[in-house]
Amino acid sequence: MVSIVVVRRVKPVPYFIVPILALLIGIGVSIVILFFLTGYMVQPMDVLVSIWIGLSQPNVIANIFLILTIVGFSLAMSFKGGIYNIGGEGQFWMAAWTIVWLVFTTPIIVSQAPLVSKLIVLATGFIAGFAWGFLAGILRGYVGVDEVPLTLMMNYVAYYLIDWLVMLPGRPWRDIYGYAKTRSLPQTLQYSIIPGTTVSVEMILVTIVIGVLIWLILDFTRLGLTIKIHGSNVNLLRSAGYSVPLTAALALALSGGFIGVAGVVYLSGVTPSIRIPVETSTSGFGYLGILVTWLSMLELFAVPIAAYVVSSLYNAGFTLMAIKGTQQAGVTAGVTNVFIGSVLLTYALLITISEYEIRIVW
Amino acid sequence: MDAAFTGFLDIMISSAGLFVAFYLMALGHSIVEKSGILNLAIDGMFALSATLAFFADVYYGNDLLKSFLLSAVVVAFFGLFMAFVLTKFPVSHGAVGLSLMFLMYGLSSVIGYGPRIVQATMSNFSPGISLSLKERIAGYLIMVALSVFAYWFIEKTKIGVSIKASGEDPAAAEALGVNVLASRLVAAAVGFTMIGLGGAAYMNFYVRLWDERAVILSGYGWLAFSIALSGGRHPLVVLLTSFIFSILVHSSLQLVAWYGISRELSYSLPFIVAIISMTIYMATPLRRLLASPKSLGRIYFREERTV
Amino acid sequence: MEKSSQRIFSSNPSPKTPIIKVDNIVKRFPGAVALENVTVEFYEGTIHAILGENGSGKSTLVKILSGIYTPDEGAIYYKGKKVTIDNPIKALSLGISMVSQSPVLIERLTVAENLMLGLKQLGVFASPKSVLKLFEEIMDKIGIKVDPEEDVWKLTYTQRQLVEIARALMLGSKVIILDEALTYLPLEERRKFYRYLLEFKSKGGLAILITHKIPEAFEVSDMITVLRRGKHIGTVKTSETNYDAVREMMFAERAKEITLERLMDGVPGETVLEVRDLWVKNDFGTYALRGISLEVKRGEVLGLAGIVGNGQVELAQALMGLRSVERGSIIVYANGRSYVKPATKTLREIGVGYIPDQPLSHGVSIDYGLRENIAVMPGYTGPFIKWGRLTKLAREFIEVLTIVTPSPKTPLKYLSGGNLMKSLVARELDLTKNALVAYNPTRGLDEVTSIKVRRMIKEKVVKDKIGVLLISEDLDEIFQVSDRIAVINEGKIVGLFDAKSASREEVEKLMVM
Repeated sequence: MVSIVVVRRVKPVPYFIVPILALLIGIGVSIVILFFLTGYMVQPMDVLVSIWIGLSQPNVIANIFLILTIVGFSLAMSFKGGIYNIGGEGQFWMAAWTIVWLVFTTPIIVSQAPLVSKLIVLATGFIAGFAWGFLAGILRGYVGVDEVPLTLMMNYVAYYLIDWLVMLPGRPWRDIYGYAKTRSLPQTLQYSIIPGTTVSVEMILVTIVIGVLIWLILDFTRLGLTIKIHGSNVNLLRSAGYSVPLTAALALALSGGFIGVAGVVYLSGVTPSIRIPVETSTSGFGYLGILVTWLSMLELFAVPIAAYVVSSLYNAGFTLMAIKGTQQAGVTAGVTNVFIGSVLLTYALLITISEYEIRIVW
Repeated sequence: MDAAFTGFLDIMISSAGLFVAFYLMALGHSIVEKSGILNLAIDGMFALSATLAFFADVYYGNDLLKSFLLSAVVVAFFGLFMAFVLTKFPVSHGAVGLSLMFLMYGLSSVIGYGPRIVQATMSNFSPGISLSLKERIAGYLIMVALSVFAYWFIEKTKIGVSIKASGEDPAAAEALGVNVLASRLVAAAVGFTMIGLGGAAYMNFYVRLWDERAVILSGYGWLAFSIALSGGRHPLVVLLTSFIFSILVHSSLQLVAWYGISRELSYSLPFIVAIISMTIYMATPLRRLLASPKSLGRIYFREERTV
Repeated sequence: MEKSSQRIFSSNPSPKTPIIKVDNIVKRFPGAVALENVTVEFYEGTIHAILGENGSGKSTLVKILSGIYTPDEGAIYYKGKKVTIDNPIKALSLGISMVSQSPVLIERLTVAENLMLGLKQLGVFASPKSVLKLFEEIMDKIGIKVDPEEDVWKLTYTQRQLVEIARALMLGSKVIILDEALTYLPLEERRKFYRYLLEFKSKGGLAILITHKIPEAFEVSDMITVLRRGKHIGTVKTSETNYDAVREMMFAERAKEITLERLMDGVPGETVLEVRDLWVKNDFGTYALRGISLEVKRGEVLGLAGIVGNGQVELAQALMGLRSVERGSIIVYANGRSYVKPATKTLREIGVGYIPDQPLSHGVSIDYGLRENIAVMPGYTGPFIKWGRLTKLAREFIEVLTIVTPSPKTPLKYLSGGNLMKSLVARELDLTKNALVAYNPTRGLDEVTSIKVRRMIKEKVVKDKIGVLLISEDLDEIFQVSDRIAVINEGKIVGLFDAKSASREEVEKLMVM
């Protein structure tokens, strides 16, 4: 009788092998799935070409890439703390909403010099994302509610809350023509796109600053160390005298704050208004970011690399739609989920072989 | 007073299909988790099973048997895969669950699109059937019977105790002679089949339409998750929590009509209540009385060395 | 007891064939080779002791026999035929069952539910009640009284071990392995099990007894196999050898360093830690401590002896502020003032050290290196971490305790168990300025390191005038290190002695009564 035995490796395998393999196999699996499920209409070549278009044209996906990098950095912070922040979507959109609300209800922000108002808005986004994350963090830390269903359901709450608030009649943020969206952010808050690209100087700067900040926090502050220890051994943290609930809450809140900044950057640099309903207009950065962070194996320097790949995958979904057309093959934006799911699943399975050896015994 | 009572009865009757769906999903999920497998894929499974049911309905002319069967078999297949991999290999339950969730969302998008187009060409077609009053009452009663059976199965039989043992401490269970893999596969076969049936019930008996919002973005799988959790994964208590939620979800749509609450706001209510109910469970003695399996979601690996 | 003429191993090819033979077994773990070409033969009708210090590989060997580990090289022969034991169920099917130091019964289930799990003769839909009769028969045989419908968490340690032996019997075991299962029980308790083991042996069964205590090996065994550093040193008949010869085999040249002689005396001063009428609950909501009162003085070691499960865990946690106190108080006297029921953070800041019972799970983070494990303690860093200073400190620890590690940054999971423990002890001893709560500080360590650690602790006690509460299930350790000895039983202090004049027998009696 053949049996499978799993043994811990004496020496671990180089860690970059897993993400690369996961990508290759995951994409392969997606190709197979799409081929068969669309009745052979989506050919492997179509998928590969779509992905290649994304990979080889950085300026097309650059804005998505930067936002995903920010989200990737932010999630790395919470995942390192052992807190699975699946609530990125909620934190992202609550931040976006907060600044829209503020901008259109108080004149203070807009009346400042552009640089100042942009900074205020970024800070506000951070606070909003932090608060939304902290709410979940408290329930997770002090009550022990599992953060995965909690933050996920808070995403839905955020979506619906914003849907409701935006469509309230007669409010200053409503679109003038009655379309299902908010008014666009004033010019002073919008980032100027570098001609020939999809990004702006501000976006690049913010991404770099956030990356450096998170690195400094995690590796050189006591707060960062407690978050990391929380992710490694909660009992040790407790016996060292730290408040475990507070650490958990802060890990969630901080990552929420930085994702909130991503939401602000999105509004200022990509689309200056919120479209309703949010749950269908969202690009799903909060979820895509999870893939980015996992593929980077929680190493900060690998986050941009993973973000680049994931933005190509995201773009591939749309390219596929353009090539195949929704009418023909039934390819909708939901296809991206097939990519995400396959790559993530392969990753989750393959990561075992980096630490463990699988032997067949008979 | 009478009006309120009949009003409540009306809601009970009209939400019967949703109750059946929620209970089947929550009970199946509970059985799976009692064996120690953390099931974060539940919302994806909900979307996929509802979509598959729709698919079968459109292409087989509302043949309900095929519809339920397709959903149950496909979800059970994914579930058995999950249970096998998570027991044999030291893989993260959360990671596998979430990735399957995304994959299933994607599959649902792709699978549902075709029948949706086809349905548009069929006049007067709705997936599923409209249940009669007798059938609705039967639905409630069948669920109660199912809960009693599930209780007996888990608490009073050797296989049930093996399943519980696998969820409490798989290493100890194995040393005691339990075939943890087999127990978890049995729990998976039973549990995930129920989840699949639940999603199909949602499509065929309740919502009876397919679009991304009603199915993939509804988040009802997560509601089922909270229903199971706050009911302590106990077959009888979950009956109660499923009931509360089916009434709540159904009437939140009514609240729009009665109190003029915005529709969007009413959509958020079930989730807010779900969060509150999970909080109540964790923050009160319920947490100890109806405790979760000690090794739920824990990676099972036998060769960990000791100091 | 009825006489049964049925032999346990009825179909053995010949009495000369060993029931079990392990042949050239090799097993490696990250950072260490646990077993190196070990070959041993076990015969029916024998009580066979495997003796070795911690880290010698004895536990690994029997875990291979019971299907928890698989060997990297080598083979296992059962009754002369080669077998692969790749999981515990396969072992059970061969009639091999194991009782280990920490009972394997599942706490939330009842005794009956636990017992029914391995019984093949019961159908899939059988009810837990079907075990009751069989269990009662066996209970009579071994001479214990346990209510099978009771939840396991309510049983004492000894009761759980007895239930496990009962289970081995119910399963019709032919080979019973006791992995340090009796090592921490007082002699009287062990005798209860020996009565049964002798009967088992007389029917032809094979009992394999694992221990690191030489006296235990001589108490009831017929054969002794000695392992040292993963190698088989020798197998002898118990009647043909003696303590010294075996010690020589176990420790070779280090035998001289190893002594169970009492370490230096402490110099008791003023009280540093006081516990008054403490009542603490366990995880299941019942009282683990019922009105404990203790005093630890500076310059002394107060040893707390007791069988595991009598409240030691809860006491250590309560003292360190990790478990809430229902009634009573804990007072620490330091810095010229008294701290009443201090919070964990305060305790660490004023310099109270803690060596927890399960160091891997409570004391260190194995994903990070020594320097991070130091930095996480209060007092070693401000809001911003200066790694230079901490790395230097880590290097000092590495030198003083000869910790084998590539660097202060290397994640601790790449260190061997012994070095991990040294890292923990180094950090805690450095942190300790007033008092130390140590629970089984040398469990799992090899003898030389154990003695080094105990010596370090006692030296610090005398030199820096700290007070140490040493909670240990190892009576040898208690007698070696303590100045005073207290005995805990069912959450109460039942005896307090001066270590030099205490009689071992009396202490053991109090542990059990």
